[in-house]
Amino acid sequence: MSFFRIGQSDTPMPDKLCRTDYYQIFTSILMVILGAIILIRSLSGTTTIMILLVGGGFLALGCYRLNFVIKYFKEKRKCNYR
Amino acid sequence: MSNKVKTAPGQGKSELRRDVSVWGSYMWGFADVGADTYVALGLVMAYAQGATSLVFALAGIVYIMIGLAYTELASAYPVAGGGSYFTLRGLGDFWGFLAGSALILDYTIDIALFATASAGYINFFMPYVIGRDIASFVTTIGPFHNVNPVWCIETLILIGFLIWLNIRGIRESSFVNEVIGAVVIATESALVILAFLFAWRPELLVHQWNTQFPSLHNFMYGSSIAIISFVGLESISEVAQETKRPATVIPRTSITLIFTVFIFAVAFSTLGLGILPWQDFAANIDNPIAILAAAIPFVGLIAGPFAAALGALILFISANTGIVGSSRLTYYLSKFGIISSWFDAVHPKYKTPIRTILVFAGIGVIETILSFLTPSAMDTLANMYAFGATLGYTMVFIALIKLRFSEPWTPRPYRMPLNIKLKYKGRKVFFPVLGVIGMLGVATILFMVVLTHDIGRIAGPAWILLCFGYYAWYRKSKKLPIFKSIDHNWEKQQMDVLSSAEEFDLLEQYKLALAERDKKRVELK
Repeated sequence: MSFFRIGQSDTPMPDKLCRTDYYQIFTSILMVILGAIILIRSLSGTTTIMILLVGGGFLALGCYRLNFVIKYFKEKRKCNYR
Repeated sequence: MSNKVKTAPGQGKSELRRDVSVWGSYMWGFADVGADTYVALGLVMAYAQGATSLVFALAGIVYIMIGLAYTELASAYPVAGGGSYFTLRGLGDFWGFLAGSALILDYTIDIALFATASAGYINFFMPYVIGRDIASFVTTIGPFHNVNPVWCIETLILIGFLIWLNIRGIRESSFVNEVIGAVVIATESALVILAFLFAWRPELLVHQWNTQFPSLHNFMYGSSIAIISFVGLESISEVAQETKRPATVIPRTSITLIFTVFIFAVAFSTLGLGILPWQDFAANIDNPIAILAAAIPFVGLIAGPFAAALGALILFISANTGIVGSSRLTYYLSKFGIISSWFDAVHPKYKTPIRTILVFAGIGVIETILSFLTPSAMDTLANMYAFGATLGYTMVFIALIKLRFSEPWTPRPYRMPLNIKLKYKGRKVFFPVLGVIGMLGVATILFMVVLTHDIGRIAGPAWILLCFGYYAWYRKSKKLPIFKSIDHNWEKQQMDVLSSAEEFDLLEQYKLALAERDKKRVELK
């Protein structure tokens, strides 16, 4: 069973980042910040499962997307050394 | 993207141009799906009350599965027709017609609902301009109570403008569509950030969650309405035949779109409950996002009207996708002998599908007038929208499962996650577990629509029956079977599609897989 292999798309890694990529990096950073703020604000007072899901969701999705950015820059650095 | 059709020289046959880029494909979907929250937030709040964000999240989970199914199918079969094409290919002509009629219902409702909602956001400015609220025009006409003729006329003017725009050709408006879409995304992001930082009170959300949780009936009704926040992925499939390198572009745009819309829908509902009581949204179902924006401290004075203006624009564009989508769908349905080629006729000067535009926008006009005769036009249209969408999506899931078994050799640039590898009739098949879960999820919502929507459960099936009457008449007049399928050369068509899309790697894969299959068949004999 292939479990949650969302990366089954054949989209190749781009050689150069375009404006859309920079926009996505920016929004990913915002998601991490926003997720953290939601969690901190709700955990300091009362909370519900939905607040935790929304805050956690923003944080997780932001981190997930930033993970690709980090991977991309690591790959690029490797290529530059070669 | 253009609504115009291109005639291949010397062939006299209409083909759709491949000129839609990644951004174009994404914005085409966003213009349709992204606008849904502007409509749904108030309607869902009115029923789901303190559980609104939960209802959006549940409907959103089903929507993610629908989105992944569409991503797989649209990248594997990048042709105009969307859900109806997948169903026809997987299950046969009759089921393709059934899915097609459900989706055409949705496109016509899309025209009516989004034009109504667009006028609703315009009405946000009415007290400032003429000093009267739109609700003050409500009147009684004969047996019909709570009729708002001013709002109805505004909506009809907007639809009339759309008809004119589409008959003239929408190339110019597509550019506008992309620019406005980008502004809307930026505005929504800014609203979410500012509202979470300055206006959101978690304690208010917790209070509403704890004290104003809805009854089971209202929860089910709210859930079935919430699905309309996520309707529109069909648009990406509809323009798949015009998308450059669809196998690469569609998975990228679809998945980005799915998560963008899901985040905004859940974020807005969570924000809404943490900023204002749900009753405030229920009282303003015509412009809930503007009410939300206006409640943000410091920027609310500007953000409210700005959100209202943008809402009116994006909803207007979304109504436009209804006209364009129905044109594409009928183009494909006539190509496969489901409806008459009468619909294919193009305007002699503007080369636009004039008959389709007039017929389906005309149906949108009728639906608008009828809905304004009910106590809540938006609620009535949302009822119908939910019925058409859930019926169409259920068929798409069944087709996805069937196609995994009947066409395992078709290259799938993207495959839904969570699969079980099986051996079926000597060939390797990936059984889509998530596809089955998604089918059960959307079928449950369809069941809730039928159970709780008084108008949707009667008008929806009545529409399907009406379409069936036409389908039976047309097939009989052409001496074609009604319940059986006519022969379609899917393999040749798939090769033509991959070739025209310049997906040569996939074409090679497909030819190799077919050769392998034929070799095995010979060996078995």
